[in-house]
Amino acid sequence: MYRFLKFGLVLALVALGGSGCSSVGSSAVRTGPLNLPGRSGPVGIYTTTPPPGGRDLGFVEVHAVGDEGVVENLLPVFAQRVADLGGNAAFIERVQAHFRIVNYWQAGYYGSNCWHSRFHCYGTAAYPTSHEVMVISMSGRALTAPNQAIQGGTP
Amino acid sequence: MSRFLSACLPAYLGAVAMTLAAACAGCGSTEVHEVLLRAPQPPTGRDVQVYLGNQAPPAPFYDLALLQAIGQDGDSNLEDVVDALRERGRALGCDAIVRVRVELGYTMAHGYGVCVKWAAPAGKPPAPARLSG
Repeated sequence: MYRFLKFGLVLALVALGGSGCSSVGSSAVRTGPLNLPGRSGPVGIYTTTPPPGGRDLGFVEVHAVGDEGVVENLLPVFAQRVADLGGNAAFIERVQAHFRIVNYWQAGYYGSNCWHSRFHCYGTAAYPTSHEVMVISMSGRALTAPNQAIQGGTP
Repeated sequence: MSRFLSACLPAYLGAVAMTLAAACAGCGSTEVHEVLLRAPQPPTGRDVQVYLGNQAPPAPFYDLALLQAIGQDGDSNLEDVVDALRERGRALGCDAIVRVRVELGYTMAHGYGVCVKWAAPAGKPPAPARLSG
């Protein structure tokens, strides 16, 4: 019975680990009086100044941990959240990193000669370890801008 | 035994220290990520200028790409991260990297910047990139 339980637990952990959970998370908060329905269409990307004539729709934040926290992954999600707020222009105000030290127990196998015998002893040991993780956050604003502003480019 | 130790220990410790130093000389890496907003251009051959945070560049510009550099271990410092941004900017034909921001951790460093090209005085920059919403 115990062996079945143990097997089930290991299987559940493997399934959880292998399920490909993504660390990419996002938020989009509507601000101001303008309330547009979500749209599906192109979103202009503005990195240094907002588009001329653009009107604020809300605040957008996208974040990810470790290897997933790269601009190639974050920008498409950012643009999607801008479109969800009804925007056609994304103004990226900030891309920044936060660092955290994560402490955890790590299991390791060991094998050695047993004391005063010719037998080998094998076992599992857990030892405390720590690891630095980096959380990358991209934040900015969703705007609706006249079409010619989107075509015009940034100064 | 003690004579052996006193004779050999310094040499042994020196060898260990040299091995460690040699091994750690290259203990760092920097990876650069980018999103192209407009088509890259041939390198200009000029030095790529760097403008931190809200520091204003001296001329009008338009953006070519978002750049991100992540330095690990020996490269987790301001210098290596900014150099990596600058190198990538040079390869993409940028004149400057603006809005540069660097955060330092214990074993990692993160840098971000926008690779830009000076705009022609009377010219209109190409249309910005669009991503499907």
